[in-house]
Amino acid sequence: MSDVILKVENLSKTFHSTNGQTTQALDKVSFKIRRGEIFSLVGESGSGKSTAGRCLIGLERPSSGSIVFFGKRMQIIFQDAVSALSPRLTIGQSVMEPLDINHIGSRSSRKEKALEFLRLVGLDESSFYRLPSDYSGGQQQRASIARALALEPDLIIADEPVASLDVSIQAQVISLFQNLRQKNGTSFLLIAHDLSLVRRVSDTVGVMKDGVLVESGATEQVYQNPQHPYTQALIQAIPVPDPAFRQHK
Amino acid sequence: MTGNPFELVGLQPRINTTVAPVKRRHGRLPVVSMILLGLILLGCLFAELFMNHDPLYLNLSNLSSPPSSSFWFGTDPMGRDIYSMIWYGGRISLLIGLLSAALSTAIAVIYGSISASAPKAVDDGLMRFAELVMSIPSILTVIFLQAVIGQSNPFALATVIGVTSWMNMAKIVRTEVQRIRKSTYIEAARTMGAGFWYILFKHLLPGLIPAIMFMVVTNIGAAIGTEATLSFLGIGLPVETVSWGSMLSQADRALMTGNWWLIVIPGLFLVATLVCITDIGNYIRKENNRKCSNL
Repeated sequence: MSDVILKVENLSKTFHSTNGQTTQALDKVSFKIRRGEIFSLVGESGSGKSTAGRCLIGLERPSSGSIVFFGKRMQIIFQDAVSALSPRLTIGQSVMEPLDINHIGSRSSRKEKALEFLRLVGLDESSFYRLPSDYSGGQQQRASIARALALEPDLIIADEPVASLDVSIQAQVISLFQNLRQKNGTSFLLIAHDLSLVRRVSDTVGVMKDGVLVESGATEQVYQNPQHPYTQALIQAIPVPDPAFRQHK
Repeated sequence: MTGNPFELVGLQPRINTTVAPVKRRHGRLPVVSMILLGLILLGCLFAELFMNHDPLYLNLSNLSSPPSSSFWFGTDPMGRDIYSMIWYGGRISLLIGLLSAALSTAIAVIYGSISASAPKAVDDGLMRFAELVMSIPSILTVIFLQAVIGQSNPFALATVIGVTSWMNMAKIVRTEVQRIRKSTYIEAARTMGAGFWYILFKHLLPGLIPAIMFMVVTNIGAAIGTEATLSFLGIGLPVETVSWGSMLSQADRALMTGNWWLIVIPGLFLVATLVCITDIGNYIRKENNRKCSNL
């Protein structure tokens, strides 16, 4: 068991809306994430993959099931970078926030650390004193990634971390994740809908539909030999670059 | 590409970028209002330095005398020097304004925050109650409360005005708290282990201040106006307690006797103060709106 960092068993979550309707967002979802692994959850919007991530970090209360975390710290990167940073705090204050809350280190060492992580995500040191509104969405997302990294978590839940970024920045964020995994052995739960991106980066993939984890396994195995009809349909829908078509142009 | 995780490919990297000091043009500062209000405030705070007569002394040989070199703004029907009363009484007026605005802000912040965080039924109940109170003309509530308290001192008056002017602000506080609570950065702070108090003092309250600042300022002005109204009607401060309102309470008689200085002079100071406060309040409101929409 020592190589497992997170074990989820029979995780269920039911939402009750005000007009008496209930929605089963998660239905007995079970999976394991090993240390240093990039585990991806894919599925259409509303399939419950974000809810799963939010349950894991404690932002939602699961209705039933068990979540066992064998690591020390878990952090989450949100999809919406613009509202993930307080408009009143400078980028530096936001990145230092997790250190402030947990009283880690002295004031000067916190600042040192924040600057280090800002550099790591490719932001200028001058960003430390600037407000998020001075920056683009991509830069804000990188700042919020720096904030998540500041606690040096051993599991990062990345909820559509690159959906709001343009393609060149996407590649940089993904390669940053891969570097972190290599250097620190950080594990990732990557929540995404971009199937070709998932195939490129993840070791294990779980496919969700209507709150049910319909299939999971090693990425290549799932992509090359999908078992569940929904997975088959998903994989068939990936656009394939067509060399024959290209020649017409 | 090097091993550097972030490197722009195909673009000349900028070397030695120096950040120019961020300069923002903050609209047009209400300079005239600020200077005028500042002068009035200083005059009231250091009234002793400006007064040339005892504002409470009844000079029976100079009843209702017009402005002269001895009595710059004239005297009232009881022989008190109006110039000295303006500074001395301004203190009471401003004190009532500040106290009642502080009281109504405190009520509004607590009431609005509770309403925003409470379950829907409680929230609805609290908001309907606020609307109920709002639908009663405030002058009526003030007169009623004033009759119940039965005391006519500045503190009682400030309390009465304060507890009848929190409703609009409470609604704004509620909306703001709901908006801020939904922000992802609050969730992010929670995942980092932040407690309730940390989020309240670090995120909720600082987020509220810009939105309610203009209402606080407007409430100060409104309270000063309400005090004057009540005193004029004879249910505010009595004539022997000097304030701009109680000075104006002699206005009805002054109209008939043609003693214009009794009305014009306290009225001028009252109107100038209110206009200045409104102007500054408007500036704060515009500034806040500009910041919010400047994404």
